[in-house]
Amino acid sequence: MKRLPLSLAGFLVFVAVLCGIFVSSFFQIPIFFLWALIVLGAIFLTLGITRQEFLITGFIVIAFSLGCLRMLVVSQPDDTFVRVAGERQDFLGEVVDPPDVRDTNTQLVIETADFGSARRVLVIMRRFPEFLRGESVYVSGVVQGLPKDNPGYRASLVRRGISGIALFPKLEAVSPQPFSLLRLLDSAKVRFESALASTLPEPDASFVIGILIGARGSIPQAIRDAFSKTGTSHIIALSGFNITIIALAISWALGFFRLSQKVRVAAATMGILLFVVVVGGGASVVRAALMGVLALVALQRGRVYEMTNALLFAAVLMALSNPYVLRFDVSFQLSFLATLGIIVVPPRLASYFQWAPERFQIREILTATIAAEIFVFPLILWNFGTVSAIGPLANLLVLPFIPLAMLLGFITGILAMASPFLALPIAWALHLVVTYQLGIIQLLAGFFLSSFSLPKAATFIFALPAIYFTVAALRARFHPPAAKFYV
Amino acid sequence: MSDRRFKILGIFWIALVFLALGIWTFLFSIEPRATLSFQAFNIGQGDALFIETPDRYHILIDGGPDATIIAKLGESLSFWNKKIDLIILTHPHADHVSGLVEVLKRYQVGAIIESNARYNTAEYTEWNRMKEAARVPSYTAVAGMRAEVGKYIVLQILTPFANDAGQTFRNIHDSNIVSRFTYGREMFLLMGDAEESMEQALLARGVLGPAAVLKVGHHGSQTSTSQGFLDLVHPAAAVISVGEKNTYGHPRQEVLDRLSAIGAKVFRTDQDGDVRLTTDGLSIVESR
Repeated sequence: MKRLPLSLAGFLVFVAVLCGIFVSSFFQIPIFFLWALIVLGAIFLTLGITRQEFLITGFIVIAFSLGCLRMLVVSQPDDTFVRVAGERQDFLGEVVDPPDVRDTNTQLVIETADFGSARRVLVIMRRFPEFLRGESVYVSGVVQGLPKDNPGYRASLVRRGISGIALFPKLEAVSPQPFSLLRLLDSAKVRFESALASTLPEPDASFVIGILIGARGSIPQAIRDAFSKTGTSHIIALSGFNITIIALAISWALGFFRLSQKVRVAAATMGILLFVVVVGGGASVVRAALMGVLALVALQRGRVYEMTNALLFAAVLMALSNPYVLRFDVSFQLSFLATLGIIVVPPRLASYFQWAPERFQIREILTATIAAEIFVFPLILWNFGTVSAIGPLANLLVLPFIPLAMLLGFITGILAMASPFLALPIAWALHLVVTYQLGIIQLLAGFFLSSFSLPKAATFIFALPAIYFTVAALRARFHPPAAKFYV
Repeated sequence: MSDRRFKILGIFWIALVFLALGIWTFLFSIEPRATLSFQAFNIGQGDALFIETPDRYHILIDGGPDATIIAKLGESLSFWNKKIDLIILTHPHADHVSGLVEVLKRYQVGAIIESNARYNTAEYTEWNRMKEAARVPSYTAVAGMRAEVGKYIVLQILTPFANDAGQTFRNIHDSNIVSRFTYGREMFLLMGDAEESMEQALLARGVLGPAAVLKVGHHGSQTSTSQGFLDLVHPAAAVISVGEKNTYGHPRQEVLDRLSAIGAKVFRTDQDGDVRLTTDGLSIVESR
């Protein structure tokens, strides 16, 4: 057997880590089994002194079991501190996440050391008084364990390290927010949001904030229902793809100044960085932005091997820091698949898109959109409940305008922070775009077809193109003769 | 034509179309109309009433329990309108004041009429802080106050009977603001959370008269809307602002019975959604 290139070995190791984390998020793999795997890997490594394939097998086995181990050490929710009879409990803690302000309540995550080790409690409270991340709060109320009858909700709480819930307790601020970089980001986010909110009417403002930050909380229930009826809920989940399109638009606008390709990509990346800072640099924003930049670079350079490895490396880092994202974070999944699509598909479709005009980067945006959609569509259908019969149409009409709404929303927010009056013309354009999107969604939600849903298994049919492209890319990877597409 | 000029011209045209649309919607949004519109928003358990005068002044009476009011205002006001000319806060209970805090954050507010009684809750403290930060003038409501809103509308304050500023009440409903709006020959009587004792006091003072529209006191609770009161006011339409499946059992059946007995058409926000009545000063029309 001939020698495997180093990049392919890296590719396999990254995939192994991700597989390990993914598999063990479904099954609890016994720890002795993992130790056995690691010993096996070590044996392969020693054999690998003479045979290269043994060496690589060893690394793959060890990477897989390390992935499993990472998932294991994420502690299971320990809610032993919860009193059975619903007794009142008092504790002092610190607000650790930016408060999640929804239309009818506000949710805080409070970390406390009062129950032995450090624990996080989700506090659901009324809209006022307001708290900030970093403030110390005295809480007095009944702490419940995590709900057992709703696995999805339970997983979403566990993912955030939460092991108890307190409903409407008595809250008292104890000490103010100390200074730190995170707090600066928070205040940037708050200023950005309130600038948008005072320039745009509702529901535009909460919709735009939703698609920019990936928060669905503040969007009115009626509109959220319309989203799920038309299979468009995913537009709120922040995806790296939208960020890629925004970056493309920035780089296109800079084309007016006759700058070189490199400068434009760099400027677009700076734009994304500014976006991350202004919207508060939440973990999901950072993840999506990173994937978005990767896809942008992939579009410009088109090196499939290199970019796939970069994407996998980024995914490994993200999954190691929070193993739950792989299975439970739809925003992460959307970003990952869209970026994968943008890397893998365009080289194979390029010859079919010669007809599309180069002007305005139409061809680039078109191929990127189709590439991302091929990979993301089955995930959307799978994750967002019913496969609405009206879903494909609604997505077709609404999705292309999401990046535009995000870009205009970002500009509106920045301008409105300086002067609300200055932002009015852009805000007006944004208002028209959002009115169109919400109008289409609400109109289609009322159609009789929207209640007609396909079985979930139908998702598989839509996944076929994505599977085809993945298999083709894998084959090309292992059989270099087919690599004529890849330069 | 060169490629570059084509690009610039295209962008110019698109911008021009947007601009024209914007200017026209703006002009339509300030054009006077012949009718006054009165809305009771469906904001859950609480009160939020919105009046638009024929000459486009905007009055908000209470704001409901949460930020839902913002979405309702967004539907009712044009994109260009960021101003609420007058807010009346009937009393500082959370289901009336919480939404108003959000309104102060997002809209420019011309003036506030409220009782300014002392009341200690997180929401009310925030309200006071916000209105001072925004420097909105606040007028303490006293019976006999009268204001002209625009050219056509007269607002009268019927309660509280004394200046309640800074006072503490065991039942804050005793400091509730009852107001009356008159357009042409039609009257809107807005009770807030007034209870029976307040109705009796109003009857005793002889300030009440027939009204076309009654905003029923205290979400249709049995503590309000007594028979003697209804006999005098005799509304053609009664609006009850109440949340679906609320835990208080509002509105009470006996109140609904009393209202239908005098022949009032009852509108309920929990069943009818947003209730909208318009009037040209001569008659009342329900409009969706």
